[in-house]
Amino acid sequence: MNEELLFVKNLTVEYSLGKYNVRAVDNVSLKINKGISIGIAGESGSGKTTLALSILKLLPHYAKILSGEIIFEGKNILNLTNEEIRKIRGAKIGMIFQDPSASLNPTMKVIDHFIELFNSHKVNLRKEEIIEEAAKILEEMGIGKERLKDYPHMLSGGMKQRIAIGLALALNPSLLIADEPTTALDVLIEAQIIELLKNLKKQRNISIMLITHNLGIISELVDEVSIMYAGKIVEMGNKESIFNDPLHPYTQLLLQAIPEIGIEKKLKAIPGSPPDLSNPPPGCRFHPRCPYAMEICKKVEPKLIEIKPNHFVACHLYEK
Amino acid sequence: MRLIKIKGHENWMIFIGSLVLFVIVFLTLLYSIISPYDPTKSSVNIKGETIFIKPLLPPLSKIEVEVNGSKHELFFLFGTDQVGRDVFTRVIAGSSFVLSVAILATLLSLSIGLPLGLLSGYVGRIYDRALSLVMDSIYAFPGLILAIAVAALLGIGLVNMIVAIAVVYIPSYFRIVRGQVLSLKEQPFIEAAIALGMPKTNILFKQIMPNVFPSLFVITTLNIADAIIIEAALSFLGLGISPPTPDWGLDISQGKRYFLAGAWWVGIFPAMMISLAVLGFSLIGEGFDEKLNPKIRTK
Amino acid sequence: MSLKSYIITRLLLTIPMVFILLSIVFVVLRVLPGDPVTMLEGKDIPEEVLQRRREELGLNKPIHEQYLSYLINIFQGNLGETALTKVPVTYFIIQRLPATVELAIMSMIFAVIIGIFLGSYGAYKFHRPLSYIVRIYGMIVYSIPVFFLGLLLIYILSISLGIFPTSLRLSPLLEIEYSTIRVTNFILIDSIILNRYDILYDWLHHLFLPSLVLGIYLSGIFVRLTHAQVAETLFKDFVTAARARGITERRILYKYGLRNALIPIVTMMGLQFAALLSGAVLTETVFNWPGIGSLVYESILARDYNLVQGSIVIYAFLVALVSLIVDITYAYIDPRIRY
Repeated sequence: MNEELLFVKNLTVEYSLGKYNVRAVDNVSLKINKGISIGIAGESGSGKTTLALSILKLLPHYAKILSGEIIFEGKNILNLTNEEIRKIRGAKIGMIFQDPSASLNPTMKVIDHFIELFNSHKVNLRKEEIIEEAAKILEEMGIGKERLKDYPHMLSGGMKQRIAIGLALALNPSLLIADEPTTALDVLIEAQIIELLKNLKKQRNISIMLITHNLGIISELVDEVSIMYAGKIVEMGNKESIFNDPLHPYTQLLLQAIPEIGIEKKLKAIPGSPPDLSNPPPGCRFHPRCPYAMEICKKVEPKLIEIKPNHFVACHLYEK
Repeated sequence: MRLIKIKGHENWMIFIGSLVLFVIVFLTLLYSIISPYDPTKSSVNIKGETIFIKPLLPPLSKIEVEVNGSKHELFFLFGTDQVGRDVFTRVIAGSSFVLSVAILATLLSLSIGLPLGLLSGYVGRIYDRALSLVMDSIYAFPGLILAIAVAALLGIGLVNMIVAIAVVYIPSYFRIVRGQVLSLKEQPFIEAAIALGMPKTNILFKQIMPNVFPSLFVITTLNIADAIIIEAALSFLGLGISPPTPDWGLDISQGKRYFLAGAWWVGIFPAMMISLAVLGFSLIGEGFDEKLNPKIRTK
Repeated sequence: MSLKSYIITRLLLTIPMVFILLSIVFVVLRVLPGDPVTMLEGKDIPEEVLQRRREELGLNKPIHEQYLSYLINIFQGNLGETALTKVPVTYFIIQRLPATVELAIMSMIFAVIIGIFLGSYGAYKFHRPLSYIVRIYGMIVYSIPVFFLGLLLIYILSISLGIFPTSLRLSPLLEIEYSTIRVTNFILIDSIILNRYDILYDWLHHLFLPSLVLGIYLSGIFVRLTHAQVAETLFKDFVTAARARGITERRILYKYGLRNALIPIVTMMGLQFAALLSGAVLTETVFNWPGIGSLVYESILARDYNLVQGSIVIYAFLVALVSLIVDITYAYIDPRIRY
């Protein structure tokens, strides 16, 4: 249970856009052990999607990985050849994206997606066997197998996302990266998808890396949480510990911003706006918006320190 | 020394295209100063004496002639054609003809297609459907064939060529303008104008039309480029202008036999001019098109 | 809507299109100012002769009568007779149509091979030099007049290097033989039926250069379009999603990039048909290829009104037909647009 599955070590990713260089991910480290699921939360622009894309080396051409390692199954992914990474994608690590419409090829039937997947990974099955297997997977996802012959535009958003999950898990990967899987879906469907992921996690015993800006759905699905802000991890660790006792001011504000049904609460928006990453504020990146900002916060960047068992925070408030 | 800073591939396109056209136009306007030769004559006048020029001289030929005791040197940059005319002069002089035909034809097209497109798009309903169907059919019809048909009917001549070519581009203007009008019609600022009680003509001409101009500019440059090609094809087929007016397509057609016999300069240079003129306009048009509608988004 | 019902609907729409095209030809050749008879026959023919010609061609009747008889004649297959020999125009056209079809198909094959492979590979290597070269290729090829390209290749490959013949469809002796034994007038079919592979080879030998010229000319536009479309598709999200599933790069290029780009490419192929026909006129003229392209040119030279009208009418039909085929193929490839 304590075996390491994925270890992201000091990852820094930079985008060059015209004359601006933006460090979307700055010296981020993160570990996922087998059987553990982790949620990565933060506002848009915090770098969470970039982090996810880096793991499978799916970054666009204008992004560069400046430094760091991503260790998976003992090897550094960043050093692998294109072919070696291709074999990992879909088979060892699966990924689903925010927009379900964008995950499927509009001119291919659902079953074709499966056939293509199995052929690309040289799975030794005849076409009929693949269809059988695909039907089983669809069933597992809660979709009738008659949908196999449909084209994507005939399916609802929720169905497309389920199929995307089915494709991502078809070859039994040990890790599923879910980048904002429910952001584009309405609340009811969102609940269904999260429920589905919960069951899948249990049945297949896989680790899920859930990326979201919605802390509400994280609590059901993951064991550990990382809070990202402006390209850095500001707080991470055990989910309960963080939810019950949020240490970083940003985390506190995030949790306060979640509306809870039945509880009358003043909805507090977080003042200010995310920083311009081409020119980040000096010191702690959150200090312009932090209600507890001190002098030192403006000058020195805080480091991640373990304040409680498996509860790390990067904030000068907690430094001895 | 960096005088001009050009960043972005579309700006390079506009720059190079404009440069090419500028050089062509510049040379054309000044050819009478640059070159001592008459593009339509196979002789040159030196000190009152008419000296006939040998045909089919290769490029960079120098001929020495004696006139009244003094020696003169005649230089032919691009050689001479099958009749003895200086190819360089002829090719340069040709641009004024070709470019005027292409530009005038396109402008004529514009003056018909633009109002039709504006009205049709704005008025809509059955008139628009009917006119669009007609325009789409013309658009589908091969441009050159249409131009050939009109030219065959009207005959040889400058004006006839212009009309023949103009017919080809009317649908393209119509479509672009109509498309723009249709999408602009729904915009809030038009609704606002109507709510303010502005008369329809005012809306059409003062609100909608100016927004159509950028696409119109792009299409015009591209149509001019295309018109140059059609002009060359028409004169190649003998449906354009009659000799001895200098014209690139005509020169290629008349020099065809000699070109194939080995006098490559007779054909290459007019063809090169056609390509350069077309590239000039195309680059400008495509460059501006990239600016307005960036096709490849790098973000 | 299923494919079948789309096809039927589309077929029905072809009828108004054909009518409009035929009407356009009519308007151009008869209604526009300019007297076709004078233009074609020449100004120094005595007026009585011109009048008689007009009578013969029925140009003196009121316009609506002319229009009606024009349409009726066409649908009966009667395109009039040539002025010189009184041979029915339709006969000429049927005789020469196969040659143009051969040229068109072969040119499209060249254009597609060059265009699509260059274009998609250039798009795949988007930020490398190859991509820029590919984009410029399209523009340059478009700017070179196709008739000059023909002359140039004739000079290099036929005259200088002697690899290919300079013109015509078959060598003269074989041409004479062929005209006596032909069946469908499509040399490909005929030579196989008749077991005359020497004719087949000779034909291919003659076909290569003109279709290469026309193919290169058309490829420019294809290269640019393919490149733009494939590049745009390759940047789309479902390509990233496919990569995330570990789909091989080759599949991504062909099945994702190209297949989704095929939709606008097929439309362009239909639009290119117009360029093909225009280019065919010039290419056939330069290579003396006996198709309807050169027929247009020859009929103008010969000042034969009916022949000119007839060949242009045929063009109208061809345009409508190809437009139909393109739309149906489009619907087959992209299931979304079957309404």
